[in-house]
Amino acid sequence: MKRLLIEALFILFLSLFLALTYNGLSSSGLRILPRKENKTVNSLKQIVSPPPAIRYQGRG
Amino acid sequence: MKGILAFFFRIIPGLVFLMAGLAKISDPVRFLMTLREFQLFPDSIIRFLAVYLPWLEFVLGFLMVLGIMIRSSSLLLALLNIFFTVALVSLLIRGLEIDCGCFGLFADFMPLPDKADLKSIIRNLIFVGMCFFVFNKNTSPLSLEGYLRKIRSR
Repeated sequence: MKRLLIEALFILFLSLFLALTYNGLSSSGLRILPRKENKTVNSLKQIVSPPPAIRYQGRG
Repeated sequence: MKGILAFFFRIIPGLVFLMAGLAKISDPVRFLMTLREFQLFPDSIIRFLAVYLPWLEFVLGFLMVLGIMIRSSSLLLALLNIFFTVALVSLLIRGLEIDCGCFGLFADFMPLPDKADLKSIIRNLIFVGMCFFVFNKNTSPLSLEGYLRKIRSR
């Protein structure tokens, strides 16, 4: 029983080590994955921010 | 007869999970999106699971195929399958029709079952049964563990 537990913990930690090593150990290996977008904030930003100014391009 | 069964019940889930793990490791973002569609956990846990679960599947599959630490790896694989089954059942109860993401990238160019439906639940339960069979049977033929035990006993 004790051996089984030790082996199981070994497998779990080995997988964790491989996952973090493969995905980069810098602060968090999870950084490679995109965060969930906050749609409300993004849509509000689009509403509040004015459209880019159209420059007048005169002749010459 | 039981020995042959134990061998096949070790190799089949082992190969399946080795392949599924590799497919998810090669595209963790896709697996992350699938986990988000399940709507079971908060985003921080999902991000961890998207990186960790594929490697756990890969390691467990690898150990099962080689036949090292058979009892512990079969037990963990059974528990992992139970976890996936609970997630699939919750999808069916909530009426969400999405891909299960079981084979990730490989489902694109191979005819692999990738829908979250009753079939995938039954498949998972069969794997659970296979893993518990291997767990109860202490040894398995053509395994590295058995081979090493034989050498030691000489």
